[in-house]
Order: sequence, then structure tokens, then C-alpha cells
Amino acid sequence: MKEIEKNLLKKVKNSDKTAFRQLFSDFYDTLFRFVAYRVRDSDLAEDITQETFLRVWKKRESLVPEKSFFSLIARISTNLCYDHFRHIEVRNRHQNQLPDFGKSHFDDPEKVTQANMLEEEIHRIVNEKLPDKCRSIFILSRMEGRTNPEIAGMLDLSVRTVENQIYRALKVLKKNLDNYL
Amino acid sequence: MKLDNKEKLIWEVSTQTQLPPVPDKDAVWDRLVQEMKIDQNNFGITKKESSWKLWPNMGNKINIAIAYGLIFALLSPLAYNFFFTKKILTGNAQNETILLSDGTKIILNSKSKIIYGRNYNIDNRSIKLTGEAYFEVEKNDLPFTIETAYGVISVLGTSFNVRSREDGFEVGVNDGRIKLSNESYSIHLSKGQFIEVESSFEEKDIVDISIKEYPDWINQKFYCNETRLDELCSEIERTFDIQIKFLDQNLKNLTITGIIEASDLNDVLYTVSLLTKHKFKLEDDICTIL
Repeated sequence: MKEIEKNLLKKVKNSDKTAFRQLFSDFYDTLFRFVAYRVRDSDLAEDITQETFLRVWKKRESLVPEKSFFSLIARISTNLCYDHFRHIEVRNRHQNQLPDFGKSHFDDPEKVTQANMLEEEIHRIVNEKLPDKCRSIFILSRMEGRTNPEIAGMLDLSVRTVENQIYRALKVLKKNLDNYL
Repeated sequence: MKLDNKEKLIWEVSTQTQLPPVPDKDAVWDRLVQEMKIDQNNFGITKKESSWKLWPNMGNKINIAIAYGLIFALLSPLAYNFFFTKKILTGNAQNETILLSDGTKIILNSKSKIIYGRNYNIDNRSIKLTGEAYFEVEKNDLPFTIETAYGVISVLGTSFNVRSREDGFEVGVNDGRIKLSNESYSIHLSKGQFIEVESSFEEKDIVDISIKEYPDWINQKFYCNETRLDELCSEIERTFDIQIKFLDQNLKNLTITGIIEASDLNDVLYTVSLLTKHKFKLEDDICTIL
């Protein structure tokens, strides 16, 4: 797995479009859901995901094949998400409103049950309170249902680190969710 | 990992988030390929604004549009230019004196534009010029280059004037030495030399600067040496921000030789009137040569 990824990255570095398409196919779904979890908007997630791959292509010459590709695209997309949030914040500030990231675009008012509210809150805290690396790992684990060794492989980390980060995420969540539990 | 009940609940609930379905990967790939092509076409310094038509599937939500716009804007060549280049332009009847970080002085004539990178004097000293400007270049290890539509001028430290307008190209050197080149020609011009050409830069076209106060516009003069009347008039239009119209279109082909004081519009028009033996009428900003 790791070897294949490295070879693809080497080819992409040399402007190989077929290899780039392969990487795109391998990582698109995961990245899309990863971004969708953050921005809670399907269209926007699509844009950001596409933009992320475009940036990779533009900067293909500076790719480091030995480094985890998912870490790279997670970072690029996270930055693009921040750009988006910052923009929304600026816009809201102009309207004298506080940013309201808590509201989900996927929201269905009839289904607002206790569990949904809790889920909403988890969603909010993951997006707002977790550090980037911790968040990436948590989303991969929970949304993508990846095992810890898989995540460790994707992000080029030790399994131990992944476990620690997940545990850390849970601690942060628990602390912030006191009112809901 | 040992979890307490609360953590277990969080652990369970956090998998329940509904995420939207993943879009059609092939369609996304097609769009991506298009953008990759745009990127390739834009490689190099001369970046151009990309067409909006390549972005057909704009979401109907306004926030998406704005976010989209933001992302696009940040990546667009316009933003690139905004962040990495500086642009100075003058309108009609405006002159601008620019002092660059290396001590080089540029006097920009009316309706002209210069663009230079934020890294000017760090790893290059290159400037793009449209219109006319007078340069007093400080000596420096980095060569100073001016790109124009007609050719490139490179110097080390001199003063000279460049005129690169739609109706022609000229360079005159007041001090020092410059190199003028385009794809097929390359010549040197020294102190007191002047060339007025369109494309072929050749030794035979070099003449001596015949006027004391070169360039004329810096000294508020119009210097004409068999200059076509319409060329002079466009210079007057730019300098005084007026429009000049000819009733008799044949007048445009007249050539004029002489020096015209350019400090006062009425004086200028009066002189033109004398030279062409035609009266003029000035209403608002429009001068008609009868």
C-alpha cells in the first residue's frame, strides 16, 4: 500500500497524469467526506476537495513521495476550510452577527432528538476545538470507520500516536459535552 | 483503550453523522483536468484571467458562491498580481514620479503604466512599461530591465526615456548606455543617441538627440520632427486630458517640425492652429480643429 502510493507520487512529481488520476480515485471519497464533515455543505465540500487536488497538481514538483499523501491533502483542505470559515466570519462580522457554525446544513428539524443533538454537538466540537492532527485522525476513525493501524499507515504515524490522539479527542469531547451527558 | 460510559456514548454517537453522498468522481475529474489545463496555459509570468465559463456548476446558495469566489480569487492570477506585483498607472494629464527601493527614479508620463514585482531589487530589477516614462537608473549589481510590447531594454545605470505607445516606440539615452533587444535584433545605444522604430532595431536607425531638453515631456515641451499631426494631438490629449477632433480628416497627415511649449493648453492649441493654418474651437474638454 505504502509502496504503491510512493510510486504514484513519484510519477505525479514527474507530471504523470495517469498516476495523478489513480491517486485522485484512491483518495477522493475519503477526502470528500473529510471535508464535508468540516464544512457541512455538499457543494462547498466538492469545491474544496477539487481545489485541494488542483493545488497538489500545481505544486507537484515539490511533492515528497516518502511523506503521507493523505496528510498533505488533509492539510491543504483544512487550510481551504479555514479560508472559508474566516471568510464567513468576516461576513458575519459585517452583519454584526456571531458566527453560527453549530447549525448543520443537513439538518432535518423533525429529527432533532436527544441523540441528534449530541451528535450535532460532537460535530461542532470536533470542528472547533480539536487540533488539526487530532481532528483528522478522529474523523478518519469515526466517519470513515478506519482501524487505527490503517490510519497510522495513511498518515505515516505510529499506531500508538493514533491511539493517543483518539483518546485525546475523546477527552476533549467529554469535557465539552458535560451538559449533554 | 479503556473508555468510561460517557466516552463510549461519544464514541458510538460520533459515527452517526450523516454525510452527503460522494459526487460522481468522473465528472469531478473532468472538471479538474480542465483546471489543470488552465494552470498549464497560465504558466509563466504573463498570467491572464481565467474564463468563468469553465465553472458551470455553481451552487445556488449564496454562501457557496462567495466561498467559491474567495477560493477562486485567492488562486486567480489577479490575486497573484495583487500579492506579488505592484502596479502604478497614470491617467490623462497626470505625471507620477516613482522612487524605487534601489534609488532608481521613474517619471511616468500621462496614460502610462508600470508593473514590477514585490521582489524588485531582491532578485531582479525588471519592470514592465506601457506608455512613456523617463528613467534614472541607479547603478547596482542587478541588471535593470524594462519589458515593453516592442522589445526589452537592459541597463546597468543610466538615464533615458522610453516611449512605448500604440503609435510607436522610441528610446533616447541621456546618460550611460543601454541595450535594446527583441527576438531577432539587439543593439546598443549610448549617451545622446535616439531610436524610433517598430520592430527592427538596427544601427542605421540610430540618430543623435537633436534637442537640448530631451525628453520633451519632462521639460513641458512637445518636440516635433516631421511628427504627424495626429500623433502630436494624441500627445496633447494625454497631457491635457482633452479630446481633439478634426473636421478635415486630411489634416491628420500633416507633419510638423518644431518645439511647442507645453505648459499651457491654450498656447499649445494656438501654436497648432498657427502651424496648420486652421482655427480651433475649445468647448469643455473637446477641441475641434476647423
